[in-house]
Formats: sequence, C-alpha cells, structure tokens
Amino acid sequence: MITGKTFWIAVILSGISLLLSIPWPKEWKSLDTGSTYKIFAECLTSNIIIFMLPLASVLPYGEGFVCEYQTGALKTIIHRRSKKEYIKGKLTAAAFSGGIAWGFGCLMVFFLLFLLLFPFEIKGMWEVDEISGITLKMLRLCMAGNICSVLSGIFGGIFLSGYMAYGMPFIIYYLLVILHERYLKQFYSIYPAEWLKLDRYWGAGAWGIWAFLLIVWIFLIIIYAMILELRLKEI
Amino acid sequence: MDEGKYIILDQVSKKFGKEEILKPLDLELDKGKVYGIVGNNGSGKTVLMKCICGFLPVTCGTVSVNGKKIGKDIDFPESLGVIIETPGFLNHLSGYKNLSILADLKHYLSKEDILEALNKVGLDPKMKKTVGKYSLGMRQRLGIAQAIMEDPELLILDEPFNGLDKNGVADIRSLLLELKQKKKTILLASHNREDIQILCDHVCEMDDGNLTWIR
Repeated sequence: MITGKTFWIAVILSGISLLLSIPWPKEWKSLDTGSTYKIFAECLTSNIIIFMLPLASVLPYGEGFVCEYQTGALKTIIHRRSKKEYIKGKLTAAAFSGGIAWGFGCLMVFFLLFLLLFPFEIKGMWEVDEISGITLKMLRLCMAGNICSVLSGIFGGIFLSGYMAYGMPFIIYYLLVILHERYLKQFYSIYPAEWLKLDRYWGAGAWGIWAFLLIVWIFLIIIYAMILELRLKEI
Repeated sequence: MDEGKYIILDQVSKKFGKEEILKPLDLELDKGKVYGIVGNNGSGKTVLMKCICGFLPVTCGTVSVNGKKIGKDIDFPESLGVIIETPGFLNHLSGYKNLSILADLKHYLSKEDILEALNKVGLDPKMKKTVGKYSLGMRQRLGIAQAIMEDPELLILDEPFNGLDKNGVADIRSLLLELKQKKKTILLASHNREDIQILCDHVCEMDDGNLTWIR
C-alpha cells in the first residue's frame, strides 16, 4: 500500500491541506510557549481539512479490489493465497489506508511547524494534557480517514466501479454535512466536523466519540468483508 | 478415495440459474499426465476448468485435487499454475514487476526464478514497457510465465495459444513438452486439434456440458 503512487498523492494532499490551514503568527519574535502545537491543533479542524478529508482518504485504497477484479488480475493473485488471506489483506488495506495517509501528512506538517516555530517560542514546559488532547484529535482525524477508505472499498465492491469507489464516500460525507446543517441540527453525531472538533458533549473524557467512531468503523469493515466474500464466490 | 488419482471429480455439475452448464460428470486424472479438452465455444470447457481451480463452486458433487476437496478442505489446489480466459495483470506495471508482486505472495521465489520464467516464454526480462502497452500475444506469454514460475505440480491452461504468432506457438509448445517430461499434470483446453494431438496423453471432448473420452 505505502509503495503505491496513490498513497503518496494522498499524503501530499493531506500535507498541503494542513499547510493551507495553518494560522501563521503575525509576530514571530517571541511566541508563547506551546505555540507550535497550538497552531497545529487549530489547523487539524480547519474547514479545508473537513473538506479534504474524504477526498484524500479514498485515494490510497479506493479501487484496489475493483482494479484486480476487472482486469482479471484477481485470477492470478487469489490462488496463490486462500480466500480468507486475500480478504484479510484487502480489509486491512481498506481499514487503515486513509488514516495512515493522514497520519503521515500530520507528522510531516508538525515536523515542519516544529522546525519553523519552535526556535521562536519562549522557553518553558509544553502542557502534557494539551499535547495528549492534540494527539487524540489527530487520531480522530485518522479514524475518520479510515472510515472513508472502508466506505470506498464497500462502494467499489458493490458497483465494481472505480468512480463509485472514489466518489461515493465524498457524496455520503457531504450528505451527512447537509443533513446536519439543514435538517438535523440536534443530531451532532452525524456531523463529520464534530468528530474532529468535539464542540458538543460526548461523555466525560469524550469516550463517546471513540466508541462511536470505532463502532462505525468496525460495522463498515464487517460489511466490506461480506461484500468481498460474496464477490469471491465466483471468480 | 482412489490413491493413484490426482484429480477426482465425483458427480460434478454446475448450473447458472436454471441453465445446466456442466451435466453431472465423473472424471479421474492421473498425476504426471497431460490431458486435453476440446470442444466448441460454450461447451463448458472453461467452467469445468474453473471448477477444478476452485474459481467456481460446483452446484453438485465434489472436486478433489491431491486428496483434498476444493471448497471444503482448501479454496484452491495447493500447487497450481493457471491461465484462464485473458490473463489479467496490473496494466501500469512492467511484466517483471507484475510477476514479482505475484511471487511475493508465496515468498519462496527468487529474482532469478522470475527472470527464468520470462526467458522461457520468450519475453525480455529487462523490458521496461508496461503491461498496458503489451500486445495480446505478449500478455499471453506473460500469463504463461506467471503460471509456470513457481514450478507448480498442476497446470490448468485454457487456450494458452490464444493470440500467439507462429513463433510463439512453437515456443510455448516446446515449453509444454518440457513440462510434460518433468511429469507435471497439465489440463489443456484448445481449439487447435494439432496442439492437443502433439501435447496430450489423453483427450476428452466437451459437448453441451457432457464429457466424453476420445483418446
């Protein structure tokens, strides 16, 4: 997966989105302690990131299965493994590819911010609580990316079309945004931006968001596994 | 189970919807022999081969290869090289890269093994051209290379001469003769009776889903 061209395009896309979201300080001479991670935290929930999330997440895996199925490459691959192994491989790629791409993008941008901003910070201790909060925010971004990449696998598997694999997660994502913003304001759990921002109540310690994201993710993985199993019945 | 038989089909039939493509058939094939299947288009040759490979589940009966039931004990025969219909590859990669990806799935092939397979089918291993730019004949040669590169015990080849020019046919024929001498079990479907005549120890004919031995 990480040797693929599309994976690195996704990493670059996520990196550029994060870079464009950085609220650069006006005065660089003496930045407050922790400015580096505070600026990074802000760019993780920018509108650009919320817009780009489904686009970059589907790139690494997207039509992975569709391509093998349609070109007939599946026939040369599958008998070299068992069906179970093949499905496991596809599930793993779909389940983690979006998140890994965003993870790489985040690390690159944080490293860049560290190089540029840290030397101007007033010397002092970084707040451990804040750092762990930002890490969790980054992990939620990765998890949302993973959900998008599994969705791309599901739609690719159902329609056997690369366009559907790349396009449907984007459509569903924006459908959720529109549904929340226009009709279902009280259902904040369906609002992807809320998954990152956590402006509303998700339980003490925000455990609710993790339970929610994990359940959605696992549920989608199970659906994708069932679709793959059906597709592999007759090759 | 008959100890001496490598492939056993016991009352195997295959239906697609209501249409019965394979009528219930019994078939026993020995190890180390070359079997030819002839028949018109749509007679059920490819379906039969796919059932033996484990690519299609049978509607009734059982398929066993080397004592293991396909679809129950194992998904696919354990030491299998296969080319069915047009061989499929990742078009944006070179032939060598495609083979090395496939080889990585089994972990025991060296770079030399892949190069040797390409040489055997008459493809230049150093060729940088992507498979998407290959001619039909070159794709076919690459398909045969992927089938033979792991030196499998069982080869299932559906129309392996498709798209090959005269030289290609001669190359692949001599390759198959070499494999025959190595006592590989080969199941070969071809429209060309001459290929079947030269290569096969036994020949059967498929007609409307029925199988009859003709040699």
